[in-house]
Amino acid sequence: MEKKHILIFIGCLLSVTLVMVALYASSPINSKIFRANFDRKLLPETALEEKNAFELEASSVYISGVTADKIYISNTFKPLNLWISDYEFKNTHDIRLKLVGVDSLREPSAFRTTVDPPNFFLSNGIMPIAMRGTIDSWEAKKYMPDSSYYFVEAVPISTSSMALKSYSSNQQALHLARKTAIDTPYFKFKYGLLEKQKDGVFCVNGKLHFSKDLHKLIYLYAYRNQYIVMDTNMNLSYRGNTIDTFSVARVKLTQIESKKLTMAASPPTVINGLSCVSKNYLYNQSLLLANNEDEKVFKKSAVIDVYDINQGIYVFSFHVPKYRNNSLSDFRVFNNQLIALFGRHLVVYELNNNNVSINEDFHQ
Amino acid sequence: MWTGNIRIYVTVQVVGKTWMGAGFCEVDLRLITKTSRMKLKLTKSVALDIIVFLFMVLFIYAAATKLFEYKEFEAQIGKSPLITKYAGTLAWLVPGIELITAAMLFVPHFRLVGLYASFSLMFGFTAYIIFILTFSPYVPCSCGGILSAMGWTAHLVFNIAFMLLAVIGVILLVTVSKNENQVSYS
Repeated sequence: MEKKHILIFIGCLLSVTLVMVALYASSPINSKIFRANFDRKLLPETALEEKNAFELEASSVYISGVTADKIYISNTFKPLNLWISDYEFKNTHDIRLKLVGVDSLREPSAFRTTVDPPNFFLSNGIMPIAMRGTIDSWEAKKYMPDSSYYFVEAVPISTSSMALKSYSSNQQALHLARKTAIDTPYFKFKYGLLEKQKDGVFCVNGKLHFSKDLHKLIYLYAYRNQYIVMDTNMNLSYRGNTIDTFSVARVKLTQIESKKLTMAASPPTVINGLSCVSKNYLYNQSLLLANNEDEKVFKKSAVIDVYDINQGIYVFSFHVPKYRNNSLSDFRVFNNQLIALFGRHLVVYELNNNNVSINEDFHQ
Repeated sequence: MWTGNIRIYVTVQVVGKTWMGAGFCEVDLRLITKTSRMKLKLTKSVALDIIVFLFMVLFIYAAATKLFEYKEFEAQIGKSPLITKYAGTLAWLVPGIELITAAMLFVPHFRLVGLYASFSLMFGFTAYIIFILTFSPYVPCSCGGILSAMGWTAHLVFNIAFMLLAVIGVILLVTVSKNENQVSYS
C-alpha cells in the first residue's frame, strides 16, 4: 500500500479520535459534579465500623428483611429461594418458599419478598398476585380477593391490608392505592397523594415504605425533594422535604406516537436513590453533592441522609464507602446496625453510638 | 444475531485470504499472460464490489431504522451521557452522513472517498462503544432495528470487522485501478 493511503487512514483515525475527545471533554461525565446548595451534618468516617462481611453466590440479590438476630436475602432471578443468616454469618441456611394454589409463575423476576416475622409476604405486580404465609412453614397463600389491577410496588400494612403503587388508566398516571381483604371496595385508588408534575408516571416515581413502629406509610419521590407521610388508611399526615432544593422532577420526556410510548430522553436525574425506614427514621441515599461535602469522598461512597419522620426534620448524614469497588445496592438499618449489600457482598456495620446523642439533641 | 456475526467475520477472513493470495500471485506471475492477470483483477474487483455492497446495505439499513424511529432514536441517544447535549443534531446528522457515505460508495468516482468515510464512521462507532463501556456510569441502548439485538461486545467485534473490511476495500480499489492503468499501457 502506498504511503499516501496509510497517511489518509491515520488522518481518519486522528480526526475521529479528536471528535470523540471533544465530545468527552464537553460531556457531563467529565464535568464536575454539580454541587447542590445545601449543607449536610456529616458524621465522621469513624461512625461506621465494619463488623462482618460475607460473599454471596449471586449479585442479583436484595435484602428482604432484617430482625434483631437474622438477615433475610432474596434473589431476583430465583424468587422462591431465600437465604437466612445471623449477623456473624456463622449460621446460614437456604429456604425454598412454597406457593399454595399457584399453578404457574409469570414474570418470575417481578416477585418481591418481604420477611417480617412471624409473617412473610410475596408480591408480583405483573401477574398480579400478593401472598402471605408464616415463617414456620414458609408456605404462602393468597389472602386477598383477586383484583385485575397491576401494580408496581406493594407494601403490606397489616394482615388484611396493603398499600400499592399502581397505574390508573382513568387518570393515566401512577397513583397510590389501598387494597384490603375485608372492606369493599377491595381495591381503591387514593388520588391526590402523588402529585403529577409532568407525565404522571416518571415524575412521580419513588419508593414506598411502611414503619411498623409508627404505623405510618412513607412515599419518597425519586426525582424531587419530597416525601409523603400517611397513616395506615392512607390519609395524608404531612408532606416533608429532603434537604436539597430539587422541588421539580427534572426528567425530559418524549412521546413516541407510533408506539404509544413515553420515554425518558435525557440521562436520569434521580436525586433519591436507595432508601429504607427503621423505627421513626427514614434513611435516604441522596445522589446530590452538598456544599460542605468532599467531592472525592462523595464519589467513592454512598451518602445517606437520615430524617426523623415523627417531626419531619433532617437529623444527620453519613457515608457508606464502596466495598471492594462495588457500589451500595441495598441496605437496611436495625437499631444501630447497618446491613448493606454491595452486589454480592453483604456487610454488617455498626453505626457509632454518638449518633444517638445527635438524635437526642434534636428531640429536645 | 450471533450467527450473523460469525458469518460476517468469516467473510472478512475469506476476502482477506483471497487478497493475500492475489497479492503474492501478482509478484510471481508478472511474466505470465495477460489473461491470467485479467482473472486476478476480476476476483479482486468482485471482492471490492462485495465489500462496497456490504457497506451500502449496512449504512442504508442503519440510517433507515434511525430515521423511521427518529424521535425514539433521539430520545435513546439523549440518554447517553456522552452525547446527550447534541442528541437533537446527531439524530439527523448521523443517519445523514451514513446516507451520503452510501451514495459516495455507489458512484465509482467517489468510491475511494466513500471507503475512507466508511472506515472513519466505523471507527467512530467503535470508539463511542469503547467510551461508553469504559467511562459511562451506566450503559444506555441506542441502536435501531436488528442491530439492537446485538450486545455491546458483539457490536464491538462487528464494528472492528467492518473497519478491517474498509481497509481491505481501499487496498483492493487502489490495486485494481493500478492494474487497469498497467493493462491499458501494455
